[in-house]
Amino acid sequence: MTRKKLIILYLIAFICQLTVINLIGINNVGPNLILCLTVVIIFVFDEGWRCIPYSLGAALLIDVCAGTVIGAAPLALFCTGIFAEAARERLNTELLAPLAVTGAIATLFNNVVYWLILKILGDPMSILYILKFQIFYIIYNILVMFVIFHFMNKIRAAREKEEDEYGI
Amino acid sequence: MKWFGEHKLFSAIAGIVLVLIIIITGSFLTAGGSGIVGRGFQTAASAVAKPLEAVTSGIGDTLSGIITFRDTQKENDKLKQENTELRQENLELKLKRSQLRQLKKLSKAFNFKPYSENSSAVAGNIIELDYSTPYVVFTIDKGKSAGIKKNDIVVDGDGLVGKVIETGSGWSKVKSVLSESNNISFKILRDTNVTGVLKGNGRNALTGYLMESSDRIIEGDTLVTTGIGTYPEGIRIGKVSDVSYDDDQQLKTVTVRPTVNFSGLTRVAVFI
Repeated sequence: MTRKKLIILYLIAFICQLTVINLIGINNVGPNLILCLTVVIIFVFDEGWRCIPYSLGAALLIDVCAGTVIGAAPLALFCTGIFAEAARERLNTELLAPLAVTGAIATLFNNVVYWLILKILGDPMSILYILKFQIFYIIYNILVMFVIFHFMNKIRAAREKEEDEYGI
Repeated sequence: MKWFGEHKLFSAIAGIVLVLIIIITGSFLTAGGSGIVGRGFQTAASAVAKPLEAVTSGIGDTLSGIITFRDTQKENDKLKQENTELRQENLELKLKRSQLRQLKKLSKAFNFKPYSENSSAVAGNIIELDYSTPYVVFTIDKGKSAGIKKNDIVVDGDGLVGKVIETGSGWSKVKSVLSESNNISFKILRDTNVTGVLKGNGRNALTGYLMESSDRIIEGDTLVTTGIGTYPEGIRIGKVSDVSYDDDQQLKTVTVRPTVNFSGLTRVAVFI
């Protein structure tokens, strides 16, 4: 993934996250596009972790527009990114099942870290409330990850074919 | 320095975490504020989000209109009935107008200025809302140019929504009452002598206690703001959903469901 492509992807994800996604949100629950994009890119591409700085930028912008405290979402996402990279090294990245498992754990991990940061800063929300809705966030995020994975896999396949043809 | 050069990965991770912690601390100390750069970005983002919001809310309204056609019809009938009742009530209120004039004269004599007399409301559409977290913070399309300031009160037709935590050119960021960690002073609409304090409990509700444990409060009681503290008097907060007695603290505690439906919130009004 080139730098230009990453910037465009995260810019689109950022804009959609705050506007279009609200259309499919049910009872204040919706997918986290930045998280989904980051996990899938890390999962699919060899040096996918290079997307992390861009994802942090996008998460920071989300916080500026609709966050309780600026910086909490990028910090949670950074931890999740490290987890996704660790998972990638141990799993088969061409199958959907490992992605689903990684996506589910990443969603839970991201939301719990986010909650923890806000809790330290005195937010009243309880962990039980966060956990109560996790299943919906997980389902939503996994569905979005599958869609992104489908497109990213095509890019990966095209790139591998290109490399084979030129004998790289 | 040599050590950092030898441990590049660790240094990069530690550096990013440190920078983010500094940003979080700075933002926390300014109550969700985002600084000059953040405000500039927010202005640009709002400019992009406004037309998108118009398109998405248009699609959303059309879809929900089709899906909820029967409900809308029922609601229409209900509103017609309510309209008739309100007309009757209006007639009765006209009779009380003379009493109101007398009270206004009295308030002038005592130099008493209620919130509603000094303020006006600005209506705003929600243009940026993040559904990927359960924290209700959103951005509306009205800002400083409309006269909105930090800590202005945000309501909708059903009651108290929250307050403005940051504002800029063409946008304002609103923190909901559910995320309110400061105390909100309330009184019961049925008996305004019964007072207490509430705060958001993060479970789609507010919890609090009565000032006097001997006061009577029941499930279904409507709570309004008292005017003490940030929120002006007389704004609906919610309905009591549970009453219990805390033996340890010897307090009568209440759980309150907000009258505002935060899931379907698209437009709000700001008292300026």
